[in-house]
Amino acid sequence: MQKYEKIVTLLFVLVASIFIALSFYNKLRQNKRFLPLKESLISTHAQQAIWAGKQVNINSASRYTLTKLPGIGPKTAESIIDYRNSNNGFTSKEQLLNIKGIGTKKYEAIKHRVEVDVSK
Amino acid sequence: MSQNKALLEKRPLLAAFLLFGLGVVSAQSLNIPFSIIAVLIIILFIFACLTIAKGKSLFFVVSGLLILVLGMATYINFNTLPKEHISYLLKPPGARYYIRGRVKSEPIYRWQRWGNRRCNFTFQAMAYKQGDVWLRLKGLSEAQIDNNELDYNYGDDIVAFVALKSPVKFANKSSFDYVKYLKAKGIYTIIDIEDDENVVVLKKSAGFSIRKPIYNIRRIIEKRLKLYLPYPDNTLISAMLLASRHSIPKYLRELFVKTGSVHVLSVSGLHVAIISTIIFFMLKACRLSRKISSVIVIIFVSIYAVIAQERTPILRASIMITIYLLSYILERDFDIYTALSLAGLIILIINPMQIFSPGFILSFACVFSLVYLTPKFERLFTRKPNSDTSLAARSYLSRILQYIKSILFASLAVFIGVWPITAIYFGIISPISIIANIFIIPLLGVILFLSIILVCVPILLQPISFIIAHFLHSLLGVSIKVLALLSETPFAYFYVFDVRPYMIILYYVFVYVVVKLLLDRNMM
Repeated sequence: MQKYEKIVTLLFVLVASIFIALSFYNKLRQNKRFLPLKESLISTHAQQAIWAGKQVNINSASRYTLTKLPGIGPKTAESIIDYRNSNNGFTSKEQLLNIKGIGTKKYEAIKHRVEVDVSK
Repeated sequence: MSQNKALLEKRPLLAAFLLFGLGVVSAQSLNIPFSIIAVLIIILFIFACLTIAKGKSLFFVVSGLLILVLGMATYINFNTLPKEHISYLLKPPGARYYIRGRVKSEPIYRWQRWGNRRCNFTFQAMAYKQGDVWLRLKGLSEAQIDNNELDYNYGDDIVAFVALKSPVKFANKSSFDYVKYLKAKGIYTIIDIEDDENVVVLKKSAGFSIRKPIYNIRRIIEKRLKLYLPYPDNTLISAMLLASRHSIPKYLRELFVKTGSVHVLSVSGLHVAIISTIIFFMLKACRLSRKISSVIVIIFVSIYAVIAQERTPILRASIMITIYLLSYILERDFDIYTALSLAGLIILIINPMQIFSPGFILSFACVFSLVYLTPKFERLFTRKPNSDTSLAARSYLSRILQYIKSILFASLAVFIGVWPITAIYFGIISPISIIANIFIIPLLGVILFLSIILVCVPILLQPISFIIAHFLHSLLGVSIKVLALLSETPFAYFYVFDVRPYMIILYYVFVYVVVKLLLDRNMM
């Protein structure tokens, strides 16, 4: 190994060490875990569009829409529609508990995603 | 022993690669704080500076230790997550968030058994909503949208309502660890999105990235393959050319696994080498000088590495080919061990976790076995040509025999070098791969050549494309039939369970001793 090769090796190690040290410091330097971002970063359209405003009306939802609810498969969706047809629609969310395949646990998981709109 | 010492002394990069790798592996088990590592680096660096003018051995030892500690520092730095990392949101478990981020890989769409489509992609988190404010977020996640109908693209900025989960290890026979696999990609969380209604695309193809036009080319190639080739041929060619294996039918994938030729389906160093050679000869046919052709091939290989989504074997092969061509352009000697070591060092500096990934280990073990064992086999089994045969017949026959022999030796060398790794990671050993590869590797060259022509031929020349597609269809049909036949031969493959690392170490020591005692002695 020539002298200049030794110097090049050490220069490489030096550069790599500085890079690693800076990167490591950069990861730890925030005192707060999260920094607030500007509100304008995300459009209000996006905030309104997703999830919060999209509840499933169990009196009008199709079988496919019902299967989008957590824990509801095609069979349970069919049971919901059968119950709806035979009882002239739902009058309250709690009636979901009368359907075979929906227990308390499943009901708790879906109750915030469903609504009962009798007008539709 | 002295030979090994010379091997390392003549190739300091090989020593550096091995020590850096050792540093990464030891950092995982030793759990040393970064501050101690930093102090060690400073002390060793000063000591190394003082030994520059001193003897060779002392500098070798000190700089070797320095590189080992640097490997440790790289590992610790890579695994230290920033304070705003998405994985901190995993507590409480099952919590749901509005998260804004960017699609950072080509989405993969898969049909599920119950009839819905699932979309998977790597997601780069940028912000999440807490109360009424959006807070900064960093880090990558593996995102999956169940009940997916819409198409997403690389670079899309999205906001989604998600459930965050930790990845879990699959309970299967092999020791493939999904958690480690994701960790090697810098991914610590899984984002679960119920359906497209929980996703809003804020901006299509946001930000600048060289990958965008390249992914467009990728999509065009996939479309062309679908247009000219029937299913599942198009999926096979797509895997061979673009490394997209997800749409290959399960029975075909298993066939390739059983016959030890699955490397054909995941773009490997072999593919890069074949494609580079094809391009090189195409350029030569255009009467371009070798140096200009070399520069063009280097550019092509770099782009191809991005098209094939920067998989480790492709990166390794691309770096090695680039070094080879640069050594030609700059008129310097090419040493394959040095090129391999430099490729390994670059990959580990970018991502030290790669050392634990099967792709990295297989790729390097495969090349090392090839360059170390194949010449030894060739020298051991090569005899002087029979003087009775006529000169013309001898050269014709011996060329064919030599070609078959060289593939056989290469195939044998690779099998000896990598079967313990396939056993430990995938739970399968395929001795039939020695024969299967003799058949499949030459065929792969032809298939890749025809596929490149099929992709490059303009849409106006459809008859030519259909003729090439017909050839490809026949070639793939023959390949599958032969592989099916080989997979049915007795002892073609067998499954193994509970392979311990010490067994593997003992095996490699045994191979080393056998090579030293038998092969090296015979050559003297």
